[in-house]
Amino acid sequence: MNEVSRSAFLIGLPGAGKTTFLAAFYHVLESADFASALKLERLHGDHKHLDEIRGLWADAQPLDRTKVPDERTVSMLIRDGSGFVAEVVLPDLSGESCELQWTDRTMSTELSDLLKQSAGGLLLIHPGTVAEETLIQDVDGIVQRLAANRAFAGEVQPLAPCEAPTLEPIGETTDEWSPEKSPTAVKLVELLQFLARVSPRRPIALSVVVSAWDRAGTTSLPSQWIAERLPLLSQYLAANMEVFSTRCYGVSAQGGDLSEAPVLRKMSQPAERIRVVDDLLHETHDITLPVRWALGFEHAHD
Amino acid sequence: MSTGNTTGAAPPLDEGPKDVDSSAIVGDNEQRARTLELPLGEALTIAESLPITLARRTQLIVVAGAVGSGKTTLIASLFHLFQRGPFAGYLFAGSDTLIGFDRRCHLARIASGAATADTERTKRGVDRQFLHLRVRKEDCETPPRDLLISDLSGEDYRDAKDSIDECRRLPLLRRADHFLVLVDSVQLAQLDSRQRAKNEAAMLLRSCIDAEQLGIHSMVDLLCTKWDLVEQGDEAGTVAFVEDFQRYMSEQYVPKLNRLRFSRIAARPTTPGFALGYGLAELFPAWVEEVDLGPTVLAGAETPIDLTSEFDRFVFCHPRCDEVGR
Repeated sequence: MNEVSRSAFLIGLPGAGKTTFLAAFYHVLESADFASALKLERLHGDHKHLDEIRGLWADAQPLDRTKVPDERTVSMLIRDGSGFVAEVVLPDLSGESCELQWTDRTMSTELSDLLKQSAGGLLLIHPGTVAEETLIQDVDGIVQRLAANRAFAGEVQPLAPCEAPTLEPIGETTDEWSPEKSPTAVKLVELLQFLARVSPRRPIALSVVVSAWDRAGTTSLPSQWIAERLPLLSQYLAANMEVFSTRCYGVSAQGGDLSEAPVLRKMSQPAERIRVVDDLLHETHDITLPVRWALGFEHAHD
Repeated sequence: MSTGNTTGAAPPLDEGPKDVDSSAIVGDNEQRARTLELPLGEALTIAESLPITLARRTQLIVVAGAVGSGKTTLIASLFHLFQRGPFAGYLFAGSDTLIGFDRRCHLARIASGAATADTERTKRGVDRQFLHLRVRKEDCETPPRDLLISDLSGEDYRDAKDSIDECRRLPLLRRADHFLVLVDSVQLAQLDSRQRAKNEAAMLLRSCIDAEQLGIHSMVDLLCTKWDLVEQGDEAGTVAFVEDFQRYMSEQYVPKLNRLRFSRIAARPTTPGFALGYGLAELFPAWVEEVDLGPTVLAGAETPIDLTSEFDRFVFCHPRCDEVGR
């Protein structure tokens, strides 16, 4: 058996759903409930962490966010459908590690080494945590339009533009800039710029995964959702196609909100909860597909 | 984190945080060895911009004008526009100064807690003056292009307007591919300030030409900013005054420059009917694509090249010098 070692990174800001994704991914590999694109050949080393998070996921129990001290790297031997075998290393990184790159401008050498070695990786984005840039003038415009609509409906006298209400100050002070307040797209672009700076590989295989896809509230393609909610990131990826070879996925690893846990637990095969949508609108339970792309298996013979 | 700014005016932009000191970041030698320092992301000094200019053809855009004319707002608005999607036929392809851009955008966002949009005033004499933007045409058939946008204070340009020697000290004017002179249209609309506003812009341009910072190769844009506020009501005949101003500037300076364009913009308008970045989409492609291949700093220039000077290294090492045979 011709084995190679491949690493993949799994990054995202806090709350992106990385641990849930990893738990569901491991379950699909280990349970072999259906014919997934990647199959587990053999585990390596200590897999207690994987078993723990997999168990919680399978029982539709909440998974705690990974803290920096709790970061673990998992290693397993995986077989691709074409017969290619690779030892895969996947770290369960905390979102804080990624956030620190933006706020503190530091990266652990361990992460740097992993990124250098990785064939590619996954960038997870949770729709519920996306902070978009909203300008004061945008809100003023909405207020003016609301006022105009009310006037049109005869509820109030119409206002001249200079009379339209504007935002009242929140207190008497403005908040100083801090990196935590930056829009999500800006932070994600910087993460990818750091990655491109560290990694010698070109192109870097990147799966951009919109997690909790069932809650994205859209019938758009995953890449369209990214273009609508994170235009800066979408442009950056399009303009840097030589640096990143990108595929977009919408993934619901839980299959629903945990408030619906009793319903989720009734499924005899937990893998049936998983929903993966690609940019061709193919829908499957196979959560290994984004990982397969990130590991470069589709170019395994290059 | 929330600390208050209780003054009516926006606080000045400082020079950015001090360069990262690893001993300040980590507590002990062992931790220090496990940590990699990443670029600050703040506006760049001349020295910090060298890796960009040495690696790739880079457009230098100098944004000049009096205090309050809208220089930093124009720069911030470019970043606002790209955050909404492709702009003027270009995709956002990256920036080494995302922190610098984000700081400049903050007071226009509702996240700042402000009631009205504002921009932090640029501090005088800062070393970190360059914002970096990389863009690519939407069809991606050509490589990305890099822009360095200079953000100096209105006081710096006031000094340059008043003194030829001070004008010569302004870094990189000679190297500029595009020189933008901003004039506050609100000042032009007021009868008790319009002449001064007009003369300040004209004298700045004259000073730069007389100091040989600009010349027959130079591409200059004269931008009347905050134009949405003028069109609200033109009781003072501002439009006519501006047209007369443009005629005067054309007669005086077109023969001395490669190109002089006049535009009316509203980078961050507050008037309904004016979109964010009004007027900028027509200007931006030229800033990206049109190259100043002037020989102002090549062999034969009066000032000898001193490669111990960061400025001269920036100019001398730029690929453009090779393009004209230096």
